[in-house]
Amino acid sequence: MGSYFEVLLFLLTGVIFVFVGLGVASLFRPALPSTPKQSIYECGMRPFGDTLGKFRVRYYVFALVFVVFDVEAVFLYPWAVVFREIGLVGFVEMLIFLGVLVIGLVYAWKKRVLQWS
Amino acid sequence: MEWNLVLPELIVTGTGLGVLLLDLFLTGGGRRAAGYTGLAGLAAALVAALRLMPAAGRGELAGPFWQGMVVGDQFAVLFKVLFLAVGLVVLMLAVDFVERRRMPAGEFTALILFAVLGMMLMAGSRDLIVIYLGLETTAVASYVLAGLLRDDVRSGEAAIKYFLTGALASAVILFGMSLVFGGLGSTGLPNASALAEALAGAGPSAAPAVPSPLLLAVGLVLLVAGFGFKVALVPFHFWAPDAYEGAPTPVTAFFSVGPKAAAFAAILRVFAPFLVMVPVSGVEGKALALLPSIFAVLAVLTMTVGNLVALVQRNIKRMLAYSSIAHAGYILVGLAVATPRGLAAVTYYLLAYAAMNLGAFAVVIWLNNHGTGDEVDDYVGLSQRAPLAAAALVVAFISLIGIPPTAGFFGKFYLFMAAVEANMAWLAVLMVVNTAISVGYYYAVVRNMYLQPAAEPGARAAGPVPATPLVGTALSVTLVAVLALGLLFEPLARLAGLACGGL
Amino acid sequence: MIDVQYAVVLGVLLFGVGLFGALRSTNAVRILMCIELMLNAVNLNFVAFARMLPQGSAAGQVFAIFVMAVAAAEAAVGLAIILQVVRQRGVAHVDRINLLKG
Repeated sequence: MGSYFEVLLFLLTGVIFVFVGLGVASLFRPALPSTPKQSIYECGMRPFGDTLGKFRVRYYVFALVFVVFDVEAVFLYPWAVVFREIGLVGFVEMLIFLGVLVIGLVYAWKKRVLQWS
Repeated sequence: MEWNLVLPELIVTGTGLGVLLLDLFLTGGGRRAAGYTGLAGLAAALVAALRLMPAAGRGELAGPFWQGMVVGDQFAVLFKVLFLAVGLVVLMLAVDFVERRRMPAGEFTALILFAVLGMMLMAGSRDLIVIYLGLETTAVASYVLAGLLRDDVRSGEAAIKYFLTGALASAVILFGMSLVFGGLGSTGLPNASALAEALAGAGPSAAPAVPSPLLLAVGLVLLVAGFGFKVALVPFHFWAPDAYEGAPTPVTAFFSVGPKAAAFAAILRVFAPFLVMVPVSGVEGKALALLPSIFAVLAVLTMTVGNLVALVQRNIKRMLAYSSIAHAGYILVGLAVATPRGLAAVTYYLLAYAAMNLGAFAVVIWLNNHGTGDEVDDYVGLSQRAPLAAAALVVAFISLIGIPPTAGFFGKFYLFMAAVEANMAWLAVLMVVNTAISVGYYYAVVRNMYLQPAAEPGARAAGPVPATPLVGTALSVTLVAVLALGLLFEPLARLAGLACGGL
Repeated sequence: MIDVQYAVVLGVLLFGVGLFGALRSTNAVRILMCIELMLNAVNLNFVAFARMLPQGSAAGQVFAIFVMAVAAAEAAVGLAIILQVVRQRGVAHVDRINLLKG
């Protein structure tokens, strides 16, 4: 367990650094809040509505299609790593795999899943 | 040679994708074209699979191909032929139904094809990864098929129940597979002889060829539970009646035969080496030796509960669901006896069961297409209204009960003999008792059809019920198969024995 | 180097939590989430065993990737089915989806 002592020390230092730094600063800085200052900065959109509100059903279908295609991309990574070894055969096989995915995409397209309105 | 081996799979995949694309450009009356294309693809794949038969028999395809991901032994080819035939018959039964109930024809056809593809992968590999992928291909397609009647609330309910239990079962199977992988040290499954060598070498002196037999044993027990869900064995069967009742009837016919037989094929692949192996000493050996007993307990529970609950069903799809649970129980007897003959009996029974159960469902679909309901009471007086349908249903039921000279009789007889030879006569006797119970619910339908006069003439009778060419052909094929499988018992049993010999 | 036992014990615990949740929940989406948890336990096992094996095994890691991809497809299909039932019934609670006796 000895080797974990440094980690603990690091953790404590980090916590102390934040609190001491902010605490000392608050003693000296002026406090003049205004609306622009209090607005959310680089934290995404201002939320509206409550979380239990209804979404368009189309959104779910869109998201489901995205999830499937997104995850299929996981196969591209190991393929790319060993691409030199497997050569042309591997390339053709991946083309077939992607071809099957493209058929799925065409299907979704023709079924108007990709159109918002 | 290698590519010939997977030609059936390639044809089915290509047809499935083609149908999906084709359907996007078809409208209105052209919709039936999707079904016909699917039928053509399945027929072509069936021819390709049948052509593999001789080479597989000579053992030329047994070798591992593609790093052992694909094998082409007799077992694989035999089951591929069965699955393609099942797909063909189901699609023939479905085309009219799909059109009448306004189901999406292209999606239906493509999903049946993909499910058949998954089933073929399950039977045709010795590798856990491919077996899992086949299982999921079949399962995911099946979930959607169950819910394809989009305006029917029952269909949605069937789909959600089937999906939740199916996904849970998949997770349990996967956990079992992960432990088996840890225990064996590879995803490739050994055959019986390789396993015996590996376990013999697991002693203290030799290098352990099987890193951990204990993990293996625990993993196998989890696999029993997971596959138990998939084939609806008794403590894990609760989803089946609901899913079968709510799903569109051709899909129910498919579920009761296709994915079920495929799961049994996977069970044979995975468990056969451990069932027929030479006994191993030590704790691990004892744990592995428990497997047949587990199957025996499940067999007794499954056939007894299935048959007893079937007695009180009023809906014919639900009754057939419980009947199919009971038949899974009979099939388990072959696994419980744990001899090569028992495994061969399982294989033969699966062939017989597919033919006779599809025959029964063919009649239900035929009548349903003409407005007859799915309640047992709707079949009152059927012999006057539709004598041919009634007679066909009687033939299918005779086989399901197990009366000679039908395939059902020979299947039960084979299982019975295997149990007696393995000194498990008590199991054989329980099977006979259960068969006697099963007569009750099959006879109830026959009595309604023949002995009860139609309550009010014209009330439910919608006139004569002509069969369309497709449904008629499918029904004839299954009934001929029921009789032919019985008459060809000798050669088929030998084939089943050879197929299971390589497991 | 952490022993494989720790990973497997964690896997078993995760699987247990998932199984318990899947059997106890009545909300279909929650059951699905619990099943995903079980699949994560499976992946952990595969990767741990793949690392433990003396000869090393790419198969374990490949299996984990396949499990992830298939789980995504399964979840997509499952959510679509749940969505359809919610549209028909207005609920996603399995104890209230009881039109079929059972």
